[in-house]
Amino acid sequence: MRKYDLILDCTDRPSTRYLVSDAAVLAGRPMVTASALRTDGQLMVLNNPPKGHDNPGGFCYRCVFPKSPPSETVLSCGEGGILGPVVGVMGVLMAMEALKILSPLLQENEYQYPTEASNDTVPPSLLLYSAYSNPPFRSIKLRGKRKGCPSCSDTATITEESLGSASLDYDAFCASRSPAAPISANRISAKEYSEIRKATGSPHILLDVREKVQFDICHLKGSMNLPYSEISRNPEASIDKLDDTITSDPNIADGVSLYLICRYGNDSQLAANKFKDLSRSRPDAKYDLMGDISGGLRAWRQSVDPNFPEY
Amino acid sequence: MDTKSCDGAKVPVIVEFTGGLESLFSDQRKHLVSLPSTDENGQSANLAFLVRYLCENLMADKRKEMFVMDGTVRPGILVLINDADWELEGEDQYELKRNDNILFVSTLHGG
Repeated sequence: MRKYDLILDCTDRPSTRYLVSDAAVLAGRPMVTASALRTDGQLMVLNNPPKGHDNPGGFCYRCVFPKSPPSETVLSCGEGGILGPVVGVMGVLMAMEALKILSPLLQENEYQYPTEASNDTVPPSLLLYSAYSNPPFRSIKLRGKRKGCPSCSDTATITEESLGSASLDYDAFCASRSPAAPISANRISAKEYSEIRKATGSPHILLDVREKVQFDICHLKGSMNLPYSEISRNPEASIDKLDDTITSDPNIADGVSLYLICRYGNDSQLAANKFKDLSRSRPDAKYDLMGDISGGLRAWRQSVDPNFPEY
Repeated sequence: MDTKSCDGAKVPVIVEFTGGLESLFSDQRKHLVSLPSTDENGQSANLAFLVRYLCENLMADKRKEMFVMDGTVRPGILVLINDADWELEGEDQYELKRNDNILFVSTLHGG
């Protein structure tokens, strides 16, 4: 990183954001970090100015977020969605912050080194962009440098050696590995499920647990939609809803087989576990959970129907 | 939450959620909350009380752990009192005043 004057952090998960921030502090480079999701964006200028012999340096990512968020609360753009113009806005803002750091306005016709110029303390802030809010931009005042910050304070414990030796495990710190879904015994492959679909006299319900917006893009014929977000928000109500559907449809008998599917096979597994937990308290449920489809619709496309759309 | 211990006085505050947190609160970003002016123990309403009150009264979602953890707001959420980090204002001990704006911001990570 020392080859560069400035670091732009456009990464997409907490573990890399901590890593890039730590490295920028060690390399003594200012950093502009921004993120975007759905219709919102956030931007901060960090480690500006970098620590010098006569200044303690600006705050870093760890000063603002000393503890990483629980991994289940972190939503990626792939899952949550993102609007192009939101990313564009954040990118342009980052570019402008970068220019301001690299070529500050001259004062009294004297050239100033960027780092000196930025010594005019800008109060620590976070810029929020929220496309559908009014007003859409909001700058909030942060506390700034944190005493005892493991990265940028005088008592920092994160060193070049610890970064280089990989003794710091960023994935563990953020617990950001794809959550190992609890093993669900009843999983079937897309291939096996296709056999069930083909077999006559095997009535069943295929419940697609993706968000409605994804379900509307494409789904398997005859499948029903009940998003996992709804199931996890209120499992009881979801089961009631499912029971009602079964009751109201004369073509579906009580005790019908139920299969779950999603995009990649993660949420369907979580949903299956939720249903299983609940079936203990709801022995009267009108379906019989057979399992979920491992690999989800992606597997369906790969091993059953190559014409099924990928999105 | 019952407020029998107090005289029914309320502190009106504006509570906002952004960065995805609004999905836990009926997908509504801005809420006008009439907070009882004293908490369960008769103390002046502070932010810790507001957070408990929101969990009990405003949060439609059952996944409380998406908002609170170990008795306080979970890591990855910034709490802003009138657009300033709550750490500048005494964190959850901050006593709410009429028409305060409390913003809960979930950090985003998309790149």
